[in-house]
Amino acid sequence: MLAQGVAAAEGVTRVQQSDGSVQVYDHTNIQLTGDTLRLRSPDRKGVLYVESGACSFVGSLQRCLPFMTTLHQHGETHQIALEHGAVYMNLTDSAHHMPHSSQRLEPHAVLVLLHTARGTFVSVKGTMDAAK
Amino acid sequence: MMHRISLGACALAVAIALPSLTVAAPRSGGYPAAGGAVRTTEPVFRAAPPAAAAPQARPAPPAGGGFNFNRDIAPPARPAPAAPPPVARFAPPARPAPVAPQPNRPAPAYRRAPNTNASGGQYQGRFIGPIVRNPHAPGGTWGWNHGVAWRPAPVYWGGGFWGAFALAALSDALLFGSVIDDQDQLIYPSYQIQPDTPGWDLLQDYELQQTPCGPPNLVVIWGPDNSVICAVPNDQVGPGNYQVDPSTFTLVPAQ
Repeated sequence: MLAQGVAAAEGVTRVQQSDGSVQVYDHTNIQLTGDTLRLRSPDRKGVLYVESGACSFVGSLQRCLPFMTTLHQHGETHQIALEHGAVYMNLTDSAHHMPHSSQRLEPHAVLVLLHTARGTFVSVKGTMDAAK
Repeated sequence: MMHRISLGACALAVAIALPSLTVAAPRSGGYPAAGGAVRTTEPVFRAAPPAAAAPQARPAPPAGGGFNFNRDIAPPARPAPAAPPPVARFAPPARPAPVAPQPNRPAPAYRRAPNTNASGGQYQGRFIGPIVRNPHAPGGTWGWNHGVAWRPAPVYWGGGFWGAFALAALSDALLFGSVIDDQDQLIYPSYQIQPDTPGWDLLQDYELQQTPCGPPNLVVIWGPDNSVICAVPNDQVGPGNYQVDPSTFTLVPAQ
């Protein structure tokens, strides 16, 4: 279990709309509870829950398939329909290569890739601030 | 060529793209003020009035901050006038099958079996063993998955056991044969499984080679969520219907 990070969250979230415009959110807070990732916007006003299943291991990395995302924002809750995606997690204390890639995933880091039913691409990369 | 979601390649592309994104000044009007943590790749002209900063066709950022998922949370567009539902028809595999199609068996116009959390199709409840031992899987429940329980992900064919086949993206062009249930008049589609998946590892463990479903005398393996794949029989696994036991990573034959 990771303790709540003292340093600022280092996750970076990139949201590419279906029209090509892009928003990048630095300092996204990333927490893992079971198979659910909790991503909090840097202004703490939005939280995106990513629920995954089919978790298996590719080498030392855990790979899951996200199937439901829920956005809590402005006092409202919205289900965001997913078409597909992937979640890679390094739950170990050492860095490991991504499958078929020279890219490494640092200890306790996650890489999230989402494609929503309405054509939005989301990527999140960073170190988990908490995991339980 | 079979459509695959190349997770590794996709991951690499995004991982490379993340640090190299063009950084522009924060947009005015609605993005978080705390530390200017939100960036956008849209060009921003500081002297321009806020209303001109983004084309009207683009979604406005959330007025109160947070993530911009305006397009995803907007009400759906008005549906088009209702059309009669299409009839699902079996289409032969797009690629040449290594095994000849079953002779004298025209493709029936049965409907697709619903994607449910059941397993085994018309053989459900008949998988009572004896278990075909997996010669390579580690012992113990979920031993093959580092002790972590495997649960299906609902929006993927087979729950994701055979690969990241998003149900929304599947089409007849991707079929790798199918299993026809004449009694219930259902078609169970099959697809070519992806490497580095539990299903792929299972076939490797039993030294099985996948082949399109359809011809007789194949190893027919029923996976999670009523998915099915077929393989050429070998010395370890004879022709017949089997069900995957995900907890032990073994095959259980139907009786």
